[in-house]
Amino acid sequence: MAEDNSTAAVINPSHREIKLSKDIISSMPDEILHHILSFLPTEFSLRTSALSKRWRYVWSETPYLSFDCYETDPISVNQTLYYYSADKIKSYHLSISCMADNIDSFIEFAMSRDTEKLSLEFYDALNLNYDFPKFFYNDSSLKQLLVQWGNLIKIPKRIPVSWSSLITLSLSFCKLSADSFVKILSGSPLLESLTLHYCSRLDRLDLKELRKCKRLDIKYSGPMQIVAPHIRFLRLQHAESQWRLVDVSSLTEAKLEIYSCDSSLFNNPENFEVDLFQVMIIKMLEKLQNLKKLTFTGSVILQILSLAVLCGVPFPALKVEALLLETMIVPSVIPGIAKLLQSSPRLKKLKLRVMDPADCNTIPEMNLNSYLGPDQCWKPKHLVIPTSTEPKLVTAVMKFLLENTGDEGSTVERLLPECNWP
Amino acid sequence: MASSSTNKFVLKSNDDVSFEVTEAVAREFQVIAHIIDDDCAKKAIPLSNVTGEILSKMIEYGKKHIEEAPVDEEDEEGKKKLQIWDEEFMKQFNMEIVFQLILASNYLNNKGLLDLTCCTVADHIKDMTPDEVRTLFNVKNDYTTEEEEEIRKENSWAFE
Repeated sequence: MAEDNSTAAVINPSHREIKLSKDIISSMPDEILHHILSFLPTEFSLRTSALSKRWRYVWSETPYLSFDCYETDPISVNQTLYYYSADKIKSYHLSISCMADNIDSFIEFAMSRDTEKLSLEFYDALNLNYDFPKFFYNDSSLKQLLVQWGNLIKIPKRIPVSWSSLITLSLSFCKLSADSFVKILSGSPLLESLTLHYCSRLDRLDLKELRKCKRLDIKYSGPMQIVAPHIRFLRLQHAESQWRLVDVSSLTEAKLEIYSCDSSLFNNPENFEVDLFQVMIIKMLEKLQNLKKLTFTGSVILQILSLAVLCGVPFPALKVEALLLETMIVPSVIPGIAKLLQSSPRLKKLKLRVMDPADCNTIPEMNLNSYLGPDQCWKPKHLVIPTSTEPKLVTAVMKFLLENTGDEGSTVERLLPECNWP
Repeated sequence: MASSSTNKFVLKSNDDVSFEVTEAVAREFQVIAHIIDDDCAKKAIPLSNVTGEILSKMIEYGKKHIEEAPVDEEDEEGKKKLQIWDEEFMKQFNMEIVFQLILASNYLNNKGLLDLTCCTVADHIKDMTPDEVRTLFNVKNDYTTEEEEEIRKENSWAFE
């Protein structure tokens, strides 16, 4: 790029100080300028109207709007929409107090311009008083809908939901009821991806009728029973002991995480909760038998598997080809990992990612040690787990696991705590 | 897929620089993919709007995104890796080159590179006052003081 210097553009990779000798940006076609402005909150794209006459109306034709009314008065923001002239909106994000008076008009505006992606975030979340207007539930342009802190409990009785083009639905911290959710699902026949994070608890999630729904992502307070015979990808985070996979027969990839906020649950072998978790995981594994790719995140799930090994619970055989374990390496995860490897004869790829203790949910080992019999320990004595750097740790454990989970599984037995380690 | 990794095509820039690329890399650019599909790609494919310098960078980008393509939608690690590479990739360019890349990726229709380059420009507009943006991009203010004042008043909340 030797000739660059002749154009007198000042090259400085530290960005901010790059000056141009010519006004190239203003000569760009409108569609390019719209594309550039699409990456900015509307506040900044509005400011470009003051640059020059060329820029006077560029923002107003940009089919992307993004308003954050946290520090700005929603009334003045709403007035800005008066100058907006694009017929169709590709993406519209609104962050607003659910106590604000004019939310309806913002939503109505989005719907009048055939918005494809609508993202609504309500911030003074403890007052989920805002009820969506009736017209919100009837929109044929919407392809993606994201709601944070919304109240979807009451959908007026005679109003059916009709989101006939909706492909992606993501609800976080939303209030839902069984009735409203059934309505939402039956009104979204093309749904491909469903995300529920921290929403109201539902007894059952039935996606039988949604043949296109391939992706399900649930975090915390999820439905107790999941009937989703068409999904290919499933992520469960903060799974609870009562959760059950009823039908996930098309699943090829799953990511599972159990979160234990109360480690005292695990310090007593008489505690029922631990059994519930064991039962849940084993039952889930039974339903995941056709899975190709499995990820376990956090140590807890592996520790519970270790407990199951200790209790002699039979493990289902898995057809998993790729296994990713994101965990801390503590002795109490070893029997669980070993059993997983042993139960996965088709495994081609094993990946161990050692997590930082600060990010990794782990049951303190002293709580778990009460489960061990007098002759038992979590790891074979000759396995040294280095405490130093991460690569060393991974190498030591991987090497050990692979050496001991050879073809036939004969040597694998050495990993199990039932046998007394030499 | 075997054929797309062995089939080669020659892309020719408007200043007569030729690049031999695999079919997979060529297909990273929608317009070229159409030419291949229409079976019009017997010899070199002339690209009248792209210089050799820009084309070589676009091919570098295309190659990387073929070689390191995330396994699937859920491959977050793969996506992240590529994103870090993208950021480094953009650091080598001055703004003039960035705009040339924008026009070329729009012309050859590569959405990933168009997003990346436009986002780079957007990053320079964000958090700036109109004056700062004018200076940075050498935009000449052709408003009268009254006109500019009027515009700022219309949407005063954005200028505060």
